[in-house]
Parts: sequence; C-alpha cells; structure tokens
Amino acid sequence: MSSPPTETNEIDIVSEPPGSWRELRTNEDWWANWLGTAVLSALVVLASIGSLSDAKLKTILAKPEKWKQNPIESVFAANRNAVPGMATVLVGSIAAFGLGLVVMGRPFGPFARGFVGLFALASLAYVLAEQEVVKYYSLEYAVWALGIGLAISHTIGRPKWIRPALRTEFYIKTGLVVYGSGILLNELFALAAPGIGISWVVTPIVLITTYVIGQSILRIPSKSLNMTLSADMSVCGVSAAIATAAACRAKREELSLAIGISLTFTAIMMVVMPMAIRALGMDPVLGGAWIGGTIDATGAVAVAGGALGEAGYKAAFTIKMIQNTLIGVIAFAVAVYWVTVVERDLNRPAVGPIEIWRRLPKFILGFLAMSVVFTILDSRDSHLVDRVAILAKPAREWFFCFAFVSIGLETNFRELAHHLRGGKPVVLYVVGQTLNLVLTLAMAWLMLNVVFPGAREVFLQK
Amino acid sequence: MTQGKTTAAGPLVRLLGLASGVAFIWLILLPAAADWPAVTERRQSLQDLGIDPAARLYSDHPGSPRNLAEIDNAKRRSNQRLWLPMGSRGNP
Repeated sequence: MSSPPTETNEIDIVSEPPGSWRELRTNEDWWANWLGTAVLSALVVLASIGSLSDAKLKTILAKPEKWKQNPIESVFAANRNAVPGMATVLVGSIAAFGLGLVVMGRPFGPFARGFVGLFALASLAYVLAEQEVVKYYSLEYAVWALGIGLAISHTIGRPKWIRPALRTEFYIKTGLVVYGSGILLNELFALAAPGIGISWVVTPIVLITTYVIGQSILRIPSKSLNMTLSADMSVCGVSAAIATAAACRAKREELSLAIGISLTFTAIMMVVMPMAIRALGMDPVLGGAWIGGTIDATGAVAVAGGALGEAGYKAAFTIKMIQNTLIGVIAFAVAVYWVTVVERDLNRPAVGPIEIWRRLPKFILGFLAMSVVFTILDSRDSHLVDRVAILAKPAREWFFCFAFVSIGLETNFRELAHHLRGGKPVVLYVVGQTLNLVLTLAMAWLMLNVVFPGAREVFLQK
Repeated sequence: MTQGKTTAAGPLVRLLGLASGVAFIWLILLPAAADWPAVTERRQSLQDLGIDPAARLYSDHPGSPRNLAEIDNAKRRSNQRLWLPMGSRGNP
C-alpha cells in the first residue's frame, strides 16, 4: 500500500484501437465521442430553454468557486449553494462513465465507489485553486489535482478501492470532445491578416523547430515528451498539452511533467513580461500581442495583458483567442504524424489511408467535429452557443480535473526524476520559449507597426 | 515490534504532516495575503476588465462578450486595412 505506483509506464494516454466495427462499442476513443456528444446534446437542450436564465444555467453544473478567508465559502456563500450542482456532476459522471465502462466489459460497482473518492479529491483540488491569491497567480486546479494525487500515492499509497475509478484516458478524451465545442474556427479571422500572421505563422514554426531541437540537439529520449512540451509551450499551455499528449500517446508522467514546467514558467512570465514591456517603453498594443503569442495559459495571458491597460489586454486576448483555434488542428496533425512517421514500421511500405484511419485516435475526430458543428451553430445562433458554453465549461473542467487527480495517483516520482535527469525538458522549454519570444515580437512588430498599422486601431477604439 | 509500528504509522504521519502544511498555508497565510493592498487593487482591476485568471479558453472570461463586440465593431470600421498591406490599393 505504501509503495508508490510502478506500472505507469505501461499505460499510454491513448490505447491502440483494433480497427473493426466492434470497436464502436468497445473502444474507449469511440466511447469518449459518444459521451462527449451526448453531454453536449443535453447541454444544447438545456441552453435552449428560454425560461432558464444565464444565472440559473450556471448553477446546474457547479464547482467550488472563488473564496478569500473561509474555504467553505467556495461551496456555500450568502448568495450561492454549489452542492446541488456538484451533486449533479457526481451522479451524471458516475452514470455516463459507468455506462461506458459497463458496455466495455468493466464492473460498475467498484467504479462507482472509487469515483466518489476521486470526486472528493477533485473537489479539494478546486477549493485549493479557487483561493483568491492562488487564483490571481493562475495556479490552476491541474497543479493541485496532480499534487493531491502524488501526495497520497507517495505517503499512504493509492487506496485499492479508488483504483477502478482511475480512468485517466477516458476522462481526458471525453473532456476534449466537450472542449471542442468552445473552439470556434471563425475566431481565426478575429483580427484578419495580422492575427493570422502572428498566431498561425509563428506558432507552428516554433512548435516544429522546438521539436526538432529536442530530437536532434538535446536528444530527448522520449519523442512524445518532446512533442507534448513543444506544443504546450508554443500553443496554449495545459489545454494544448492535454490534446497533444493524447494525440501522440504520451505517458502520464510525461503529461504531468509538461504541465508542471508550463505552469511554473507561466507564473514567472505573467509577472515579468508586463514589467519588461513597461521598462522597455514598448507600446501596449505591441506588448499585448507579444504576451498573447508567448505566455502559455489563456487566463495568465489576460492577467499579464491587463497589467498593460485596456488596449494591451485586448491585444493579448485577441491573439490568444486566435491561437486557441489551433489546438484541434495541431492535435490532428500530431496524431497523423505519429501514425505515419513516428510509429511507422520501417519494414513495411508507406502507411496508406486505411492504416491511418485504423490507427488514428478517434476521439481527435470527435474533438474536431464538435469544433466544426459549434462553429456552424455559432454563425446561426451565437446566443445559444454562448449559453452552451456556460454549461460546457464546468463539464469539461471537471473531466480534466478527474484525469489530473488520477494521473497524480498513478504517477511515480522516480519516473519523473528519470525524465528530469540532466534538465533536458527544462532546457527544451527555455530554448523553445526564447525562440517564441523573439519570433512573436518580430512578427507582431512587422504586422502591427509596418504591414497593417490599421490593426492597432482595433484595440484603441471602443 | 516498536519499529514495525513506527513503519506502519510513518506514511500516515507523512500525509498528516503534508495536510497540516497545506492547511496552514491555505487557512492562515493566503487569507492574510488576500487583504494586502497590492493584491486587492490587482483583483479589482482584473474584475473591472472581466478577466478570469484561470480561464482555459478566451470565452471563459466574464468580459469576453463585451470584448468581442468591441473588437468586432472596431474591426468592421477598419476591415479593409486589416486585409490589405499598407501601400496597397485603397489603403493609406
């Protein structure tokens, strides 16, 4: 009981799909698609009920919220009671994931019992993350969820009764399908050509260059760790790490490591960058765009941009928003690259379309499909999509939180130490982020000051 | 025998020690820090701009709809200048 988990290396974020009709019923990837679609369909129905105000919608799926002095305020406060909404998440999650597991041949009872414990730990992670000072520094629940899991597994050991509920991959994949509903592709054009130039040109260049440096110069032994780190640094932090780790079959401790490094540097950059921009006397629009293209986490980008004033905040917000639309495309591209290049059997001819289809992680298709469906829906009824987002946000964040607690409970410090030996992942992050800082500043200056100076007015006007 | 008992209790003691540390930080230190003027001023400014520091997507910010509407309005007014490089036809 007291020894830390040892089998983490044997289980990848994505399981191998067998490639038959039967997998529609038995494969976790497909079940993530079915559950994600079912959850979003239910949310669309709820959001369509006109008599439910936005405030009422927020209470349906609740999580612990911001508190200052007393942690109980995160659940019970003068004007809110999160217990019914949290109970809905608990019961709904047990029913949904339990159904999937039963059809895939796993027993329901042990899962349901373990899930109650997992839910309690996830709630605790939220309470820690929602303290005002912690929240202000963007130290999000992922780090506390991982920490709680690691603390338990490395002291009293992972309790036997909770093990059937540790379905990391299932929670991540389903959360990603729900997350797809928030990636509206039309936002790609939010700042027309300058936005595309800053976000969609620089980001892939930085990602690919960092990955190549990791492989050919730093010689990082794990390609999946290299790719997860490169994506989380160049795209948008934890979300990109989750999606890419799943697409390239990263191991759990690799995802933990990438998230830990990203959150550490995010906390530093969100404080240092606005100070540096002000010290350099840089114009807030250019500085905001620089922040938007470089700081990993979306929340931290807004905080750092906000330190430059309203124009800086708007520039940072817009560039990050455009960058957010890249997640699905990059996850898909990474999945195809992994199937066709990294995992290719050199003794066989080139991988054909059927083989690509057979081996592609199918939840990536669900993720992209939801993004396309909700983009179309947004063009017809943006109010409905905004109301769905009110419900989709807590749903996907709970699923991710379950995954992070599970990862913490299943991660072995020794494995993390093995990856950190020589400091290569940190060096990779620093090298990649330095390249990102230089290229993003150069491109933002070129776009906003030289080629499209009219773009600056977008952030200066009301 | 004594050593066996110590070994069995060790993990639990370590966990309780960690929990006590967490409780001290979250129940004593952080609530005190939340009242520092620099923190309260910053919190107010984030609230005014509608920023959620824990946002995972741009739409998670409470101020996102207002922001998008303002950016959209401004973009409409200068749309041509956002697609045609400076010096192109019709662009000053």
